[in-house]
Amino acid sequence: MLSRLQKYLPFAKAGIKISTTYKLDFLCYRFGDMLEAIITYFLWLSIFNSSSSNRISGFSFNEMKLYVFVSFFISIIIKTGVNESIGEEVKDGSISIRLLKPINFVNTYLFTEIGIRLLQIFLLGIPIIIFITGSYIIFKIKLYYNFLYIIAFVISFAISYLTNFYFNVCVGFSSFTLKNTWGSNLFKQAIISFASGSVIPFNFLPNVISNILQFMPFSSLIYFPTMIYLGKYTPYKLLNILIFQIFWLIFFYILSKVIAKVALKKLEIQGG
Amino acid sequence: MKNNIIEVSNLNKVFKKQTKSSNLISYLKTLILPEYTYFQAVKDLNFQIPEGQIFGFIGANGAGKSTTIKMLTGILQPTSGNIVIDGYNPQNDRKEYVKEIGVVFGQRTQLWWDLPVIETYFVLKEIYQIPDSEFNDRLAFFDDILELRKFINNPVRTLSLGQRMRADIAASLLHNPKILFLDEPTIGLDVSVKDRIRQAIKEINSQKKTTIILTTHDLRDVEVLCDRIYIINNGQEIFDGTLEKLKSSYGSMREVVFSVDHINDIEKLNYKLKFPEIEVYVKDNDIHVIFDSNKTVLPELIKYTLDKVVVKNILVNETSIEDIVKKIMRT
Repeated sequence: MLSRLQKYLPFAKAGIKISTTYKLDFLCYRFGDMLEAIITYFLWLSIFNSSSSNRISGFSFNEMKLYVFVSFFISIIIKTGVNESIGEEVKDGSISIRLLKPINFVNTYLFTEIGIRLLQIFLLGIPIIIFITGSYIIFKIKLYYNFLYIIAFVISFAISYLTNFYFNVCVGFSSFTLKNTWGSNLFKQAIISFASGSVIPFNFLPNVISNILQFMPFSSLIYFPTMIYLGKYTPYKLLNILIFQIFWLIFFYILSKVIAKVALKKLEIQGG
Repeated sequence: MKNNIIEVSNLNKVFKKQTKSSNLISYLKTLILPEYTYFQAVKDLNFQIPEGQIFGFIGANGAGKSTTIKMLTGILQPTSGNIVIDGYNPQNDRKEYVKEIGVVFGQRTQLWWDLPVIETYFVLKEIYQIPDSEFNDRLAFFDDILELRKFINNPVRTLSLGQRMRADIAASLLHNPKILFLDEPTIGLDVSVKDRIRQAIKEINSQKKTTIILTTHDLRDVEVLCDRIYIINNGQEIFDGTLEKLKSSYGSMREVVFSVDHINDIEKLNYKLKFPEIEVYVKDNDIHVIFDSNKTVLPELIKYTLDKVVVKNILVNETSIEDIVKKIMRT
């Protein structure tokens, strides 16, 4: 197992090298995202200010604040370009170089991206964690959770990352059959930002819609890890959610294998 | 008789393309009812390659060479037919099969663009799990024949085309594959670099007994390297044999080009009457005449032409592979 993983370590290393090459680019992008999170923060601030009660749909303002920033952090870290990479490499034929190596070629993308993310987690995660912990101390927010919740959050977050990755592998391989990556990407973005809970927590939606969304795979991406971080679940519910997340991860993992297999059969390597 | 390491039987590849009309109405119609055209790139290829052979795979652009190579390397699915290479089916046993082959695409690189050459080699060492001692031995061997030392620590993007090709060939051989696919390895290189690469390929073949499948447009590559020549056109086999056989059958073909002022003068020439066995075609203001030097005497041909029309320039060419292919196509 270890020696099997060792093959992919050079890809993670290369990812780290790539991310250091483009770090300024990354910071500029994240500055834009940060503005978005701050705007959302002020939006919720005014919603809570104009409300007569200090809890809306079971959320206090402090929880809402955490929700905005934690979901923002998660959505940035789980971002992946694998669908575009696959689309591009299929288009120009360079995917053949990957296919000619005795390795799982989807894993080569995965490890390169993990390498890229490692640096980003440090660049972005540490200030956010300091900010959040700091606000706990300053605003004297009650700490709901214990060690179990932190472990559960890390696991849930990792599953979220992998689910999103394999989902995008599926998108990448199906997009070249559909031939229109741009339109389907936009559609995908809209669905995900709504169905993952990154725009609004499901609790604010009508019950029927909230229930439907919770059973869809995208809730696994942002909503559940964030709610676990907020300590909103009993240990029993927590276990159920993790099992639910693992189910969708396995689903997309297998689906990506099937789609990749079908797509590669139809692949016409272009050029030279 | 050596064992056949590659066996190909009844190999076919048909590409399906959606028809796109420029006419708006019929374009909209194809959105709902797509129409397809079929293009057969490879037709019923059958060949066996014994271990250790250098197999020259020749054909004009679009003849189906690259399509065949892609199917042999397993990255393209054949429409029908069988490929067995070293006991593997390239498509179904991808992960195991690719350990036994090395592939160089002349127009593509497997080296990591932003990293020094040696870094790619270290990555390959991990991927193929090559032990340290073997890795160092092979690197020394390739350094010997390909002279990698001068640029091995430079980022790939700074290399010249010739250096990159040498580095690519070494990269494809680090895991000591049984079979090496070289798809136009000398494309775009100057004569001296071509020469060095040919020497290296010969050396590798004789020392490591690697079976080599080579596609090229350069007749010299074939002359220096190949034990056997396999020519395809429109996806079909048109010649299979040694260089000697090819030359004795078609090598006496030559071409002479007359540049003329008035291309309409060709009517005055009426070659067919005097030289019934030659081939003539016109390109721009040039008259190309392909003839068999055993049957037609060159000075006579030139004298005849000069007598009839005003000629600015005369060029006599040895037959290129393309001409031989053209000639074989006609017969």
